[in-house]
Amino acid sequence: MNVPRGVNVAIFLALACSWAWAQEAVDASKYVSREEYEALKKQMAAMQAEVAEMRKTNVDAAVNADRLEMVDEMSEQIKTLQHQTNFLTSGATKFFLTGDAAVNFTSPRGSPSTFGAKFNPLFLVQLDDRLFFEGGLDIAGSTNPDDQSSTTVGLTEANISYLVNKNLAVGGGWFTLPFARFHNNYDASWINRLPDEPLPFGDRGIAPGNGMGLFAEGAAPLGRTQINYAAYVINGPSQITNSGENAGTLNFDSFDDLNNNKAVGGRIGWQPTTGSEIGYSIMGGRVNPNGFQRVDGVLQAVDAQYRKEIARLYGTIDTRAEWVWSNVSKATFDPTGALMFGPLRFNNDRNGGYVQVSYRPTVLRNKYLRNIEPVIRYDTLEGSSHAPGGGDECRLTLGLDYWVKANAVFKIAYECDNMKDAPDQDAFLAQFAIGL
Amino acid sequence: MRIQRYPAIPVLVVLVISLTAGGVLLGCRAAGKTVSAGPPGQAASTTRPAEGPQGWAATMGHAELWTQTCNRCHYAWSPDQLSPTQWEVVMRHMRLRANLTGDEQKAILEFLQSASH
Ligand code: HEC
Repeated sequence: MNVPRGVNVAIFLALACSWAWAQEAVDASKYVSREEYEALKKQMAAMQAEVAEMRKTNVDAAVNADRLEMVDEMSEQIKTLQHQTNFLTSGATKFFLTGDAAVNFTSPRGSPSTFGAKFNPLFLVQLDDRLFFEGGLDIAGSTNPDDQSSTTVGLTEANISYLVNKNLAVGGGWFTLPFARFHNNYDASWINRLPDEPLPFGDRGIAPGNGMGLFAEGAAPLGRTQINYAAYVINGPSQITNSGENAGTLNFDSFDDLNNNKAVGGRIGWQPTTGSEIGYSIMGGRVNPNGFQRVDGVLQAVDAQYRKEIARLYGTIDTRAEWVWSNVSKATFDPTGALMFGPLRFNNDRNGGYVQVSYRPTVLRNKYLRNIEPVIRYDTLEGSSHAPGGGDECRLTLGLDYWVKANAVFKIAYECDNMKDAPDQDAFLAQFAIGL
Repeated sequence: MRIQRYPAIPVLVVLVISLTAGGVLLGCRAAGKTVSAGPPGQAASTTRPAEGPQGWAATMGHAELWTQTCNRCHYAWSPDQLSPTQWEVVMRHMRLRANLTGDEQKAILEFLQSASH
């Protein structure tokens, strides 16, 4: 068949177009439209956000789990702590064991030098807001010239007190007497600026230290100053009558009343400033033991303290002074001579006191210098030369303290002694004392 | 070394007492100045209600009251030397030993407990 050339071209074109069209129809099924694409993109973005959100929540959950673990651990620790603090603070009763301890070295001129130690535990029990118990012991070791060693234990405190209101407390038992200030305020070894006590408060002393009985004491503001007051009734001191060595002296450590006659006393103090005080004390009673002739005793004391930081002196000056009068009526000891030292009769009035000044450069920057405190004390005790253990004595003591802490001190001192009726007893003293 | 007896030691005691009284008067005058310089409501304890703290516990800050009072007989222990409970017992002990009023006991205890840890 003979087909014209134009028809051939037309057929070819028609075939090519239909093939192309067919091709195009197949490819269109493979592709998405613009709208579909946009919708898909949106969906994708939304899913991505969702996944990110989910991831984040997962991380948060992990952190939270960690935190929860920590909180658990902490609450466990808090519980343990609570348990421990409850153990310490729970209940109204609170207990504190304190006191003081000291190591001494004494080197008296003409006698052997010696070391010594003492320990005074003090038990404090607060039963509630008002009730309080104080119990103290004095434990010391010593060796006498016959080479016999012994440990002495003494009762220094055993009293209960009750707070009536903010200006008054009452109590009873074995307590430190508010007579003058040394025994009550300065006696503990870490408080006393020198290694030993002033004469009126020492071994031959005339000031009472403790009493068995009842007391009432307190303090109150008085304008811009303050007063304090104390009164007590106690078994009272008893006079030693049957020993040639110390007949006439008063035994202040008697726990029992030997004459059924109580001693009464009190002290009034005025504190013009927080660092100063003056006071007057008195105590009176019958002091003879049963069966001995009547002997009355009146003890009186004045005391003063002045403590002030003086910038011009780069430090603090502390001045303490006390004077004690002991008036005890005359008696005849061993009237029949049966005890081999009588009959003995003498004027039994004794007086004594001390003045002590110490200076510590509290304002200086150098911490070693700031801890040094020089001390000077003059003390005296006067009594009839006819009285056993009597006779006048006076001393001048120079000391140097080094304060390791507020409650730990190293002290050295030299004591120049002057005795009227016996050889002088100059001595070098050293002590390390701590408040516990 | 022999030292001479000094017959007039009571004179020394009297001297210390007069020094104390002199210092006191000066102290009171100084205190008077500070007090009158303060706001009128806080000046004298008499203007305070009876239940509130009185005396030095009212006119001094707790820390100052502690420094002034607790260094008088011995040097003051640092507050961190004892626990708050131990301070409570000690302050009850010092209430009688140091002739404190109830207000002073409370004020100083508050200071010691807050500074003890
Ligand atoms: C008037 C003298 C005096 C004043 C003021 C004083 N104390 Fe004491 N303090 C003593 C004496 C004395 C002792 C020793 C008690 C003992 O051994 O029986 C002591 C002991 C202590 C102790 C040892 C623990 C104890 O209870 O025995 C601490 C702590 C103490 N005082 C803190 C204070 C604080 C705090 C103040 C201030 C409110 C203060 N003191 C003011 C005299 C005083």
